Amino acid sequence: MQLNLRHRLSILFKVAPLRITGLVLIFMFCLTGFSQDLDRKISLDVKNMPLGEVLQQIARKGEIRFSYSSNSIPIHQNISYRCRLKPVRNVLNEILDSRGIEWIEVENQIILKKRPDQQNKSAKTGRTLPVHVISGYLRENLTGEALIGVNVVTGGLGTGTTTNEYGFYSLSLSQGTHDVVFSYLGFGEDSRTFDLQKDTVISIDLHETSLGMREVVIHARDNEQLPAVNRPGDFNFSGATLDRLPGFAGDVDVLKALQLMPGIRSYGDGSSLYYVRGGNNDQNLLMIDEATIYNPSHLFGFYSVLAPDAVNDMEIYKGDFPARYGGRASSVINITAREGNMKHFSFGGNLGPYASSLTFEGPIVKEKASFLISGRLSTLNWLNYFVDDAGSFDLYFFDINAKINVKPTRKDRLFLTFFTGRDRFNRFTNSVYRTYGISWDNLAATLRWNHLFNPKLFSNTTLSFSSYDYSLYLSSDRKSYWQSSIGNFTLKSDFTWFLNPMNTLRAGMAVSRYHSNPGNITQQGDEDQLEVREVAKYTSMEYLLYLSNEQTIGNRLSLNYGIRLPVWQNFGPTSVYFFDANFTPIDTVTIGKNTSYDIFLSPEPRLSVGFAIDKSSSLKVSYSRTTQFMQQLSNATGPFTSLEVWAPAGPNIQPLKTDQVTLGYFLKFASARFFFSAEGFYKYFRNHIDYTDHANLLYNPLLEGELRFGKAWAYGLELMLRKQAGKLSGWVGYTWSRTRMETPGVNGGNPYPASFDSPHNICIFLSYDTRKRWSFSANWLFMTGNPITSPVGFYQYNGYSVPYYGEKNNDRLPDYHRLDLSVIYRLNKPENRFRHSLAVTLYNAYGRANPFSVSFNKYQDGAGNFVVPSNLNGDYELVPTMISVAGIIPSINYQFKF
Amino acid sequence: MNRVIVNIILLVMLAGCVKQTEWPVPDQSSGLISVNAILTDEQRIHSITITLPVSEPNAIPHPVTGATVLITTADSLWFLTEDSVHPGNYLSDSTLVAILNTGYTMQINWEEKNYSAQASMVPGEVFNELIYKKNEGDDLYHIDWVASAFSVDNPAMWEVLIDWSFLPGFDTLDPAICRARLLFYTLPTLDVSQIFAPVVEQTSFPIGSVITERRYSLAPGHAEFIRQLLLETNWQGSMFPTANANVITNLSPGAIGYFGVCAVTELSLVVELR
Repeated sequence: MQLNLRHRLSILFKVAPLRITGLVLIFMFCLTGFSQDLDRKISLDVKNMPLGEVLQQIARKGEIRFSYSSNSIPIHQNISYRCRLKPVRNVLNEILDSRGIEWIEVENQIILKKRPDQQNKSAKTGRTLPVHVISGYLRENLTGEALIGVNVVTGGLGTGTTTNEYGFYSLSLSQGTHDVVFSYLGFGEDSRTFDLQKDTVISIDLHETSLGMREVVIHARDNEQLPAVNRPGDFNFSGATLDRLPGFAGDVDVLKALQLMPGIRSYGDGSSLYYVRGGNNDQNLLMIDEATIYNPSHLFGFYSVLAPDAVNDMEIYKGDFPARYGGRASSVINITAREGNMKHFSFGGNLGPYASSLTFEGPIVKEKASFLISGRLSTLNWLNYFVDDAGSFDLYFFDINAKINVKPTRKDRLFLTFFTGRDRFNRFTNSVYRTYGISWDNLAATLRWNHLFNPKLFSNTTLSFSSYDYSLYLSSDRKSYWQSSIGNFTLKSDFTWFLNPMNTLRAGMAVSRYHSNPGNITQQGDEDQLEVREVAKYTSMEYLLYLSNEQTIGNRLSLNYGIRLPVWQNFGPTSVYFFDANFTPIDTVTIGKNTSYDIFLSPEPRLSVGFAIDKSSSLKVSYSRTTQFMQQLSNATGPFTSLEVWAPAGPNIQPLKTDQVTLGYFLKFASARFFFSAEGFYKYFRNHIDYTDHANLLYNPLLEGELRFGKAWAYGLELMLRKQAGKLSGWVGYTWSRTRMETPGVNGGNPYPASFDSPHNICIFLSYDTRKRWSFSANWLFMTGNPITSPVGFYQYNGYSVPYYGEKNNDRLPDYHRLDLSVIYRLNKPENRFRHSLAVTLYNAYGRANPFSVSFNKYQDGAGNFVVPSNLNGDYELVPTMISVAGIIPSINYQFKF
Repeated sequence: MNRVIVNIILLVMLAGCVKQTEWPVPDQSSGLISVNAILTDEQRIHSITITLPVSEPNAIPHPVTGATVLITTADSLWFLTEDSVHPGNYLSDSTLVAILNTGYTMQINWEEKNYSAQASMVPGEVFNELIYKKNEGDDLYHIDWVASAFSVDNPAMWEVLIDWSFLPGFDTLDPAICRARLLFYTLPTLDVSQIFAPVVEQTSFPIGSVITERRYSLAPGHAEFIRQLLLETNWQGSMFPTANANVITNLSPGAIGYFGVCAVTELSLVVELR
């Protein structure tokens, strides 16, 4: 429609006043002194500075004012930028545009807001852009160690990923300019802006911000499915925190540090036994570089076999396992050993009164191959000088961790890990029943090969070997002994396909061969020839397939789902006993060598759903089914490992199966300095093992007839509040949980509390680091006392006063609580090449006697000792007594590293 | 500091820290009777003791009086009569002597309730005498070794009676404190609690004491009863405890304890200077 002149003029007169008004307004703005001159030239030079502070500098230099919401602008994101005498508007464009932030002038302010997500569409044309992959390895700058779990996030799109257990990441992005941030707690953020036009390798060395000690990251991986920027389940022990933990006898113990986490309950003093969400101790799988460690304890449990200097990372799954993990019903702890410093040699140690360790590492070929070897040896025999009664002893333990790491090509990596540990306690006493000591040995080795098929497809193949045996010596020359053992060979391959930013597929297969000896006597010497009988040994194979996907839907929803398919098969040579309803043996079948006699298939679905409510909070719900074929048989109720027996599923032992559901809420607040989590769980066990009264498990060919099978259920709530930053840091955790069992043939078939049922658990850890020479820390633990079966009366038999009982686990020991204190004094500045410090620890600072058993069979003799009476015609006053393990145990340790 | 060092020593010596505690036991009637009955192949009067359980380990148990107790075989029967001096003890005559290949049934009737048990005997064996050693620091002696604690096929109970009440210097004392009765066992099983049993009092005796060593053969069921008895008594309270539970019995419901039949072999020796 053509407008005539009159119409045009009418429009002009209608529009013109607006335009004139607008111009007047603008003019008036100018006259009123609109002070924001975006053409003012400024100079800027910032490195790794939070965006918020950069904006403040720009505001000050450019005399402008910003207005924005900190919830939508990544003000904590570190950036690096440099310019000289550039107009403010250009500076804003360069800094903000690549971060997906747009700005407009409104009145006297510059309004910042996040640009709507462009996804992979061109902003100009709306066409779908090609997708390319950025990938690479992230390592620690000083040592070249792989960094596990580093966040790799795109600033504008909010998508991201994390590095895997080998420090590798892969992220698919659309063609174009991207700003990627690499962040990891304890390390400085690294932000890279690049124009992605093809698949690109970006491998970075991150710089540690906390000077001095190495990082050990412990990830509670149950929340892995949450967006990478919001993974609140990770529990990170910084190197400084780990070294400040008041460990037993001054030795920081990574495994015992887990006892400070809600949901993981230890037995108590001097024990390496731990229970996760109502599961028994043998339901926890502990691995070092994918090799199983069957007994992670030294000195009956006072120390663990994990030398802190050899540990890089620790993943913990409290039952909500991804499909690639399984084999145990309650938890998986996967420890990644350190690879060794790829850049320079390093030597360190920890010298203490009870045990000392040394670590040596360095490059074999700089940046191509490295090694690490760490050894620890006990120093306890000096205590013999204080022993004034009959019964001198020889007690020692040692362990060696070693690793070689080689990069033969850009796409391949080889890792060889070796671990061995030994405990020996030789006690020479004159007693009616003569034994000559005990020992146990751990041995594990893995050979792993990483291969990068392409930037999206990563594989790892592992050959591993594990062995554990426990010996009781029956002759002074130790040629006669009782021994139990368990071990396995495993070959497995895992594939990770980074399909796209929303999907990461994992698949794998494995085959394992297990052998176990439940306990047999070997005699070679001439002393005290015993009559021996054969206890059947076990040979089994396990075959495994799994498939899973980690999927994110939008910016809020993430899924982790999969299926695990284990197959268990038993082989001869062995003897299998069959029992009637009264557990009387009625038949024996001899199985020939390599003959299969039993097979189990047990699919295990896994599902976990995470929902990010906002950037600070999230919800999670999950379901998992787990199966455990190999179980430890033990009716011991004490804190120490003791002559364990392992047996596989078979005709008389059904596999243990658990179903677990969890619901969790996670919150970060106060600029992510504080973290709060609340997680509830319910777990149901089928074919849960218990034992007939006074089960005979130690040297019994018919030990399978001592087992009783029933059901168990556990439920609880875990709460945690944590402060992660600042001079004062720490956490408070509370767990309420119950575990009950119901087993035909036990307790009259009525439900009863499990022996590790503990309704209330509290853990508090506080650490104050002056950032100069001194640091102080303390932790306090509380646990409801363990259930016990206490007598309801006594009767006399042949001179003995014999207790008799009512309900099983009808009573409880006194509650357990303990305070540990630690003070560390750095003898020089942490930035020095050679660093050393003194650590003074006080274990059980107020000397709480935490009992683990009560008995009614002792009297107090003239010397004040509580002993069992021997003269059955004597007149004794028997008194109830309790045994506890540890009083106050001080230690002073010297730590050094260069 | 001394306490700290002691704790460390005790810790390493696996003796732990043992403390007396208060642990009240509910005073409730269980309705059970306790039977202590061992029949042997010795030609003597045999005694069966029947008592009621108590709520404290040191309490004197109430005797079960007025019960009817008899021992039967396929073709014989013996009534036991209650000892008027020691109520609760039921005595046989000297004709009750256990023999091999014979099943024995014990029957008790008390307050209109019947209790019974069955047992038979396994053969006895000759044995080597025990070993005693001189104490360090005084002139007394102690038992060092009696028998192997483990035997698959020949479990046994060893009763060691030591008497020095007649010796000069002791003959004016109460004989009860100059005599000792010790029990040792050979069992077909091994237990962790047994291997790491708590410290047992050492009984010392002077030179010239007479030691009578008696070996009681144990049938399999009796050996298992003894094992469980020890788990709840002598072996309880070790550093490697196992779950507490009631000791088995071969008595019918309502009764606890055991009825066993044993072959006894015996030797005596006099403690000499070593």
